[in-house]
Amino acid sequence: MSEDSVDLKALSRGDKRAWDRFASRYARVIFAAVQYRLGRWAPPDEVDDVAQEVFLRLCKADYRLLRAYDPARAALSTWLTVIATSAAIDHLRRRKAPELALDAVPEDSLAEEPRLQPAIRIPAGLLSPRQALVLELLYRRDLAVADAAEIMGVDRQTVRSMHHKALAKLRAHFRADEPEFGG
Amino acid sequence: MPEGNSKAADGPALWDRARTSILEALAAQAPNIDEADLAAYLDGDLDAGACARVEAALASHAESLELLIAAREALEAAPAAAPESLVARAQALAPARRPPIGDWTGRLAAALGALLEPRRGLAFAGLAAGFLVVSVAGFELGRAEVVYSSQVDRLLTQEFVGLIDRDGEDLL
Repeated sequence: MSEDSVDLKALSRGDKRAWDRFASRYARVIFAAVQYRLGRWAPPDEVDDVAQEVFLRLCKADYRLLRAYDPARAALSTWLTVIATSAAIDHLRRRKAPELALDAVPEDSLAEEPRLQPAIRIPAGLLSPRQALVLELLYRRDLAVADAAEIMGVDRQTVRSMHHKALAKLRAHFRADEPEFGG
Repeated sequence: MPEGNSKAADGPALWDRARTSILEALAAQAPNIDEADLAAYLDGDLDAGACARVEAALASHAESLELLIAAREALEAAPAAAPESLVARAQALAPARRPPIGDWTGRLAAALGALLEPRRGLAFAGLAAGFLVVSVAGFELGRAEVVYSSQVDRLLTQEFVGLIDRDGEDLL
């Protein structure tokens, strides 16, 4: 245990004192992640309830989730941040999407958009996963290079390099496959 | 290259045309990732192969990417102190467990704590009362048996003595 002053083994055996220490130590990590995702103007009760859901999930089924945590893979605070953020996102989705009967949905909203162009097949492996992720972040998510670099945990030059190589590969592929595109 | 010119003019169109096919291929080769995978990616503790697998999943699963982005932002943000009420509620989720056998002070504390709980105290009182009734009844029955046995013994003895008196030589 590096940053952790909590004995997770004792906790997963049902040691109440270990659980109390864990809750005291990591409540702020869970609370901060939930509050950040729900937004600073979210009602305090709502943030509390979602944070409490996270604790419930952690001790459910005899601390099954906590027993699955592997300290060799990530810091406990990082892992808890991901879990708390996931809970907050799920909460927002449930809040935004009331259930609708299928009959209540207009038929034209269920129709598929007609394909205007024939499906394009790109050879598997043309782009690496990292290159695809860079293009997805820059163009689909419309992030700046700096933000994409921060999210991927790499420096900006790496993102620029991946971006440049990926576009070069795509241009070359489309020029070869569809000469009219190369103009 | 200036930051503002990093994106290519034809970039959006190129990616739009290629995206579906590329992401379908990545989704086929990338299994769903879990919170542990994302946490390891965020901490930068993955080897090249594992990193590629996670990035394939991130590129092809919008929900995973959304979670990664949100978690990264949360990690970068300033921490917020949790209210005491949340800590107390969380701590109350785990019940007190029986202490290890060797810990007699823990057992004593647990037993006293159990008595102080209203429901458990009543149940314990009921059990104790039942045990007392059974014990007293058993004692009385046993005492009655002893009295009866001693009376029988006395009668038999008297009869035996009477037989001896009557006809001592034959009996012995």
